[in-house]
Amino acid sequence: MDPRAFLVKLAAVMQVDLDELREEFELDPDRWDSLAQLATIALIDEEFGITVPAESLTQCTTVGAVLELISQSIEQKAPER
Amino acid sequence: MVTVGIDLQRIERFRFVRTEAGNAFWRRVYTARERLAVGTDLLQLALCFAGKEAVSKALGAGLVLQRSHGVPCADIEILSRFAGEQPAVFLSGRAREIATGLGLSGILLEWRHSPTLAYAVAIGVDSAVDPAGIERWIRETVELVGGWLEGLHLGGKGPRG
Repeated sequence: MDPRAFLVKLAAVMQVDLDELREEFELDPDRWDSLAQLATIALIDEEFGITVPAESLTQCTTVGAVLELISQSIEQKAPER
Repeated sequence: MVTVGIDLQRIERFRFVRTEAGNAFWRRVYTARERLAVGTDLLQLALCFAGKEAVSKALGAGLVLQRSHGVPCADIEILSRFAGEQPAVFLSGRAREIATGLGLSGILLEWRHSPTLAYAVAIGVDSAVDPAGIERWIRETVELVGGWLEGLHLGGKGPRG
């Protein structure tokens, strides 16, 4: 999985510089609201062709956790191909 | 029976919708008729989204993209023919199922904005409720929200959206 294109777009959604968006970047509740989460679910769907559960995404507190969730979802989908 | 939902959005947050990063959000959250009406105008995008959130809260369910535990965004369509008109709410799919289950006969929506914020109040009502009384109440409520925002120095009481 190459997350770079996704991270570029996530930075635009979160309105932060791409350089700031490291794995340890914390998704504080003020910025990680329903608008950001819906936009991120739509981005993940478009970039990776997978749908992550909103409940799982809500529990992510860092960018690294979001990337891990995407990896897990891709792995779960793989046997279906 | 009366149900209430209120939502507040920062208008500036919708700037990403104008970029490549916002294409998927724009196509999935807003219906074709809404996209035609709001385009990529930041204020209209924020008002429409705040309206959808307020309606979903009045239905007691979260806003989602696909049918799961909440209400898909596209199941709540909000349209107004011109600026300043009370927006009309059209429910379909899961949103309509929930409204029917709650015994709601309709949902009224009012929205306002300041230079920086868009906010909406939705009221779900059943057939026993007098619509005229509710329309007056919802107008008073949305003005009250503006008053709170002004008190919090968040810029309420702006021009009507």
